[in-house]
Amino acid sequence: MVTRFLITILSGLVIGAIIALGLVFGPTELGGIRVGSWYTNRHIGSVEASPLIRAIIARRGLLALRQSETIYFSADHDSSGVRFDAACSYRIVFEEAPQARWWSVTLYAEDEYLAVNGDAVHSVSADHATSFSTDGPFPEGGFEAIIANSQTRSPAVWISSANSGAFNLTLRMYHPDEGVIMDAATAHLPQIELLSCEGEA
Amino acid sequence: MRRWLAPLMAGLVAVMTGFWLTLNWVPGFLMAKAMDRVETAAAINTVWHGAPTDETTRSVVRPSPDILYSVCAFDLGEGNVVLNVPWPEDGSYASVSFYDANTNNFAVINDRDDKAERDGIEGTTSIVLFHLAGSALSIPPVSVRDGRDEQIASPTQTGLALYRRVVMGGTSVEDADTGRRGFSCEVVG
Repeated sequence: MVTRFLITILSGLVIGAIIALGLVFGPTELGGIRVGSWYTNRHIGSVEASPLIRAIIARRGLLALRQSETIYFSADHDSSGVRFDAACSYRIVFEEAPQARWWSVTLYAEDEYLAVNGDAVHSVSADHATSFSTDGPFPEGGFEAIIANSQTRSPAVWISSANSGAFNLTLRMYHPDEGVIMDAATAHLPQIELLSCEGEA
Repeated sequence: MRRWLAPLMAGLVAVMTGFWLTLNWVPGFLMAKAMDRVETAAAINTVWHGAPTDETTRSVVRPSPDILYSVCAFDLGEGNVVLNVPWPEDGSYASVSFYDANTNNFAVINDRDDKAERDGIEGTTSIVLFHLAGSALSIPPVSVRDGRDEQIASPTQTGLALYRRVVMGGTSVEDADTGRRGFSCEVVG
């Protein structure tokens, strides 16, 4: 009888640990609020996060700030729901500026770090939007950026996806407006449109 | 089969226990690894000014290339720690955020809510960080400020204080880098 208990308890502990590690280190989404391609979780940086959310954030966004300071949105699919691929190019369209003191969009490779490609163009920010909007086609604050694995002829700001595989994007909103803190779904977030993929005619 | 009923029930409880224990272990493990990386660059209770972020940066996942980071790995077992936090003169965002050993962001002060600015004193905020464990956190502590601008209680003895300085507008990385190097931390008696 004691042996049976030992076997089931030890097996149970191991199985529980494996399930937990699978959830934390696997492709589990954080859950929370989804707006188009973008998602966030209001518990990022919060002491109120559940053990599962805290563990996932520790792996994917260690040392994140709480929402009143910064809201982090992530995206790994384009506007039609297809996973990002470094072999394809995309257009990021901001029709309105995110409601924050300052914002940026950064591209991360599959390993969650900046892509190693020597291009040194990993992000766009509010600073780019200010300069682009003076003669661009969008209202004040709006602009476009292009994600591609090599520089294009487009006048839009370029983010390099070279050597990034199935990349993902993080949009940071520093000092977001009060309305966005209360309801992140009201944030002005860009559309991410697929332009083309290598090998396509 | 009946002989296995009780052991299987115990096994089910063990699955939940193993799941819960692992989830609570992971943040502390990852934080300890991050602190180890910081401590290889700078001693405990001193500041490491990270190089401007580029594709070689591997200290923490998802670093921002638009932000300069400085970090102090603290251990309050050696005494309280005093941090001096410089604020940008060009209006750029800056903050110092505090993380306990379980990754919780238990405090943050930024350039717009620092006491120095409220008092009309530009430049730097001094902060005393001290350890106040568990339920004692809910009790108003005696002042350990000793002339400094702020005091903050850490729920764990060890953790990280992270200074972020956004490089905004026309400010050069070099100028921003010079300014953020005023961030310091040291043990006081």
